Amino acid sequence: MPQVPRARGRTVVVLASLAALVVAATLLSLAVGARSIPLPDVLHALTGGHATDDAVVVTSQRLPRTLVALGAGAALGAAGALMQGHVRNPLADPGLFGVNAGAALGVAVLVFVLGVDAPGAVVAAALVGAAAAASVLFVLGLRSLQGGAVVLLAVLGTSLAAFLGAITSSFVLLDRQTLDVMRFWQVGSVAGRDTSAAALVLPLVVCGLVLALANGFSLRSLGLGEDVARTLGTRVVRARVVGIGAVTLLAGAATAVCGPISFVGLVAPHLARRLTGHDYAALVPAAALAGAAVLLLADTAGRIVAPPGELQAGIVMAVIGAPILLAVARRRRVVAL
Amino acid sequence: MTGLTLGPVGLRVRRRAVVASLALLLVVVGLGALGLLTGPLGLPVDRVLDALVGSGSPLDQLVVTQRTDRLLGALLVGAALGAAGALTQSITRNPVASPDVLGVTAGASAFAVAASVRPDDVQALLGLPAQSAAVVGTLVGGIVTAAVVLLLAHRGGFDGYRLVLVGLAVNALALAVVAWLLTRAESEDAAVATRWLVGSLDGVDHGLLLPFGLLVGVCLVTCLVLADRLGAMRLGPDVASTLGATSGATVPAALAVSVLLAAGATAVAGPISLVAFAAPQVALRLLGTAGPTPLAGALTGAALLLAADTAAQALPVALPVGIVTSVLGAPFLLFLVARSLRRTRG
Amino acid sequence: MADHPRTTTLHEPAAAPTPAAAPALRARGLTAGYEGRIVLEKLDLDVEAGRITTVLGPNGCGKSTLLRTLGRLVRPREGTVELLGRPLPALRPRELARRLALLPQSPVAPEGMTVGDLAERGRQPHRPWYRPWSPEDAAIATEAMTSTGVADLASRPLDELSGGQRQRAWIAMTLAQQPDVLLLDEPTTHLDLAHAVDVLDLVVRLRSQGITVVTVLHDLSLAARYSDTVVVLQDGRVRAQGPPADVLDAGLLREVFGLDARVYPDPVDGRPTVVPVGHA
Repeated sequence: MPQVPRARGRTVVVLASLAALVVAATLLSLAVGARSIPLPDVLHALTGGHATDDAVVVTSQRLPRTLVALGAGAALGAAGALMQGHVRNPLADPGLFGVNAGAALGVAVLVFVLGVDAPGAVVAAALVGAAAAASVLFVLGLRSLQGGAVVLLAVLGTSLAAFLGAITSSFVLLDRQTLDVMRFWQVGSVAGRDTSAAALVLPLVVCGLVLALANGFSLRSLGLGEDVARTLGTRVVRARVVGIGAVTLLAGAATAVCGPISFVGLVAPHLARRLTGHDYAALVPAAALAGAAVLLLADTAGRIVAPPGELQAGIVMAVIGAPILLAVARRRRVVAL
Repeated sequence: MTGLTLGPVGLRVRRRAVVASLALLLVVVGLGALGLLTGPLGLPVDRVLDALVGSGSPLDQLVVTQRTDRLLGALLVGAALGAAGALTQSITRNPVASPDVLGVTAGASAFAVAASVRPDDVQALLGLPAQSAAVVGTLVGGIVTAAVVLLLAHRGGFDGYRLVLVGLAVNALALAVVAWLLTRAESEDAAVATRWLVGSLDGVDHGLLLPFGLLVGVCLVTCLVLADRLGAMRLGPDVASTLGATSGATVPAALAVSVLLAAGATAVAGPISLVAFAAPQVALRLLGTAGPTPLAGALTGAALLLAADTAAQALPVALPVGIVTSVLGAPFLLFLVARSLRRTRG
Repeated sequence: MADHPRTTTLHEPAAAPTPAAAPALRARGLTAGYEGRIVLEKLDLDVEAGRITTVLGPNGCGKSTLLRTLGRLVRPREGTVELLGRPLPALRPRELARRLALLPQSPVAPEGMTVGDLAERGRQPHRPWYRPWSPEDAAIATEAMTSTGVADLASRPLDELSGGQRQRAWIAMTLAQQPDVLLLDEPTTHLDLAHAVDVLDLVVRLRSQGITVVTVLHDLSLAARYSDTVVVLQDGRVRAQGPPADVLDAGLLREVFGLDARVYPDPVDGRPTVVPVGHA
């Protein structure tokens, strides 16, 4: 008798190999840059060896940005997987669909209009903005069930991102001096970020990831449509609310620290889906790991492609992500997830 | 329905469309007069009129020329965007598709920002003096980007969905380039570029108005010629061909016109968002036309942009008109998407 | 699951209960609708356990709404539904999903999902997220695919299957839930006659396994051939209910469907066959 294809063992293997990839990318990120540092020296510096120049570079410059990339990548990857699962749209990404732009607008209003820039307030403003944008998307996205609607929602998401971006720049225009801050922040980068803000959002990211993992189990049945999900005993409204909450926490926190970074949430779930299939319980953690690896590699690549300067991770992500988006778009049919 | 014949071009006109068009014209004239007669320098009406006929003082003439330039710029840019949006919406059969999805504005923006941030490179590339290099670069950037999008999206024909999605991808890339250029810019240049990126009628170049006006005129005439076949296209390619309107030349021609109009408008005023999307849809509801028609879109676009610019000038803080159109257009966009999604639901 | 006794499983077909047994579903005074529109009005209905019941009626009479209300996809404004003697609101979502399965009209699966994946989803109500996939789950999912005849297709993506195969794969998912009651909303839509008969033969096999089946069908003759009981809805109420031979006659068809039709006993086993003549 043919067996149901089982993939539990495979899931473990997939997650383990992705974790190994993340570790490799982490080491690479610590070793590569304007000055190459051999891996043994990196490890030596990390374990508290002598305070050589190399060790200082590793611990004071590369370690913080590596940790930020790890956290932001995992957050954006998981958020992208959740969004794709909830709105059943293969193009969903917190950056492309305006959730990050919502967070950015929240920050812009706070910092440049109200003149507040305490890290806690910045994070809160980013979360409020992200929550508003995510809610709009979910409410509209849940109506989309067919191919045409997939595209409509994609247009809506990108328009939302553009619109929120326009409002953000209008605040910047009102105040010339802040333009310099904003234009660097708006690119999306993991380098030179405020580590105190990063420490502040760490619990939020952890919280968001836990919610995302739990939400993955609901997405298994939600992928079959709300009616079927209900008949399988899923509490649909609760699952949606948890989904919005997780996306908000993850995308909002990542944006509060790094600025709006697009495409991680698009690329990571697509990579992960190739390995895990449609089981969101496995896809969400896989996408988080893939997101961390992808953003780390993008940041590392950005350090060496355009010497003596650096290319911000957000830009490298666009260069990597746009062709992938193109590939999805050029497939014969665009199908709801 | 009444018949109206203009030389070789026969038009069937609905009563409601005529009434609504006249109302729009009245709005345009009213707002235009308001824009000409009032303004920051508080010129009395008689001196404005004198300057208009060319008999005022040089200073008055300068002020009035600025006002007429702004007025003409708003009308032409609005008309161009409205017509361009109607064309893309007809071809993709997607109410929220605007020339932005073809990558025109993002591509134009990338070149324009490059021109202001790295003027030497752009001048060398185009072999033109600084000022025209920026304008030509914007125009060329829009057209080249649109060509790339169309090339990538073409697979034995233009499928509306694929076109939109490929456009989104190219857009995202172009916007990343813009962001990157901004980080490479001097502070002053970045400020100028950011302001330009929102879309503004503040500094419409007098010298551009005539060529741009000609372009808009030629394109609108082309739209008139394409009107019937576009109407059939809106029913989908299969129905269109059973009605004898094969998409063979219509789609490329309409896309070319749309790209030219949008790239031209962007070169004149920067990327003013949401007018191209909103104007044809407003026209559709106001005039009761069958689908987003280019001419109705042009008229409505002119009226909308003029109204938005008047509002922008009346604000206590001087904001570029692009902000106003964003803020007003976004809720309309949300509303339309919500409605379309409900209709496509199985 | 120890918290509730199962009356039937896929493995142990129960003897068909006598008609006198308690109803599997009992609706009383059911009023339901959507956004200001009342579709069902004070409807009473008993669905006999272990039988095939088919809901008939003209378009828009509330067939799907009735099915969805019985399956708690629509909450009634008034009235109650009892499943095997327990009111629906008293059941937790997963409890309900273990007793009652509902297949909506034209469900959509994600691209690339396989038949096996789909059948596996049916185990969800039996499996809290912390409990790993067990051999028993696998056996039940496989059994469900075998009894719907899609076991050989387990690793094939749904989008590659024919309409009939896809429908049977979806039914496999509902069977993996091991329900006592199965509600099928127009399971034969978009299927040609051979595939429709395929699905309905499957429904008969499910009855022999002791599952109570409620379906919505459009084809009156097919409904008559395959149902033990037909329920005819009109204007949100039950107009007639009973064995097809007792219920379906020319007078009813004229009044409910506005259809001029002759009804003959079919040559196979004398069930009514509807021959439409024209609009009444």
